[in-house]
Amino acid sequence: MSSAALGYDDLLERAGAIQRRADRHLVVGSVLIGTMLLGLFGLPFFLYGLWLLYRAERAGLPVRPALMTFIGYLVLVDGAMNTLGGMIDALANHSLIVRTFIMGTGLVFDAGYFWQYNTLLVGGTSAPGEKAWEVANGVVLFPMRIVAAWGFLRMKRWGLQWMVVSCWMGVYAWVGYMWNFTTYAEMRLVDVLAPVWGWWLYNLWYVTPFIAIPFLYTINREMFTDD
Amino acid sequence: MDPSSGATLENAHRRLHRVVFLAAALCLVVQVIEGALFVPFVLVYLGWPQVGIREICGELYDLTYQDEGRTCRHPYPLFFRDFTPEPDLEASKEHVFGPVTPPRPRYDVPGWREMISRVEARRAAEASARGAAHE
Repeated sequence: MSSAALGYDDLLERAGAIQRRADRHLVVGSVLIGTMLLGLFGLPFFLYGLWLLYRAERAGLPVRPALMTFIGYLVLVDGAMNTLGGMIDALANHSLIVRTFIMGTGLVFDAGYFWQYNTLLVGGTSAPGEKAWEVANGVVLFPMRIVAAWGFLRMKRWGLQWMVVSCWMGVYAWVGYMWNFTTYAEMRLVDVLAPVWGWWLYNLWYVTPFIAIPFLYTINREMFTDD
Repeated sequence: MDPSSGATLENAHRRLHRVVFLAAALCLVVQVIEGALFVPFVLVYLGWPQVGIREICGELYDLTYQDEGRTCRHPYPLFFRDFTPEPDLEASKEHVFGPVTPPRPRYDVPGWREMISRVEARRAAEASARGAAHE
């Protein structure tokens, strides 16, 4: 259907409806992907959401710019994955699938998740310092980032503000985590299938704050007028 | 909102936003693939579905504790602590693991102003050693 045939209000309403529908699918997909354990089931939701937006854009409907959608969902997926990844290790470390998956991952990439797994009182990883980062990131930072991304995607003023705040917190967490990891690298990257190159292979893609910050400071803030 | 305002402002940083777009798209694609396929990859790598998850889990425990025959108790009771497969209180296995986590310092903490007596004792020992050397 040609968008020119519709009035401006109709057009906005139609675009808004598609936007909401796409976002519903994208959020469900992101959170399922974030669980990792159910990630495969999240993939169709996520792709369908993206396809809805792509189709609307091709039809000339005024949906949110693709750049904003990508940045928002990048932060959201990153946040969901790290929140749930940290929390299943901290809280669900005796369930069968978590033990198998996390220890298996540890064997492949990071001995911190294999060496003496479940030997501490709290359970989960025994790597020095790792539990503190799991709790600090999984309880404070990454839940905040999920909410910030959601506010940003809905173009709320607080969404943009909290994206900026939590991206800088992300830089702090990245530096702290990396120094802890590197300090104990002899324990973590020895006797694994994919040592340093493996770390780059799966971790490089979480540099989300460093990608988002230049964007957040050069975006047109006038667009974020909703409270 | 004036639709043109966003467009003009974006133009000022068009090249930066192009780079950001490509980086964000690449990272998002990889994260989504990772989130969706990481678990199946690890399970398939470890031999699932030919061997069951519980068997894999038991083998992993055998490996990390270097102790044959450990099993993955499943379902794990909520208010239960089994010290056999998860030995946070069992005797040290330092000879197997290397230094255990958390490491125990095992030193005597000096008491209130105990340093004085320690230093005096050391001075006395050094002085008598010197005296012995002179004779």
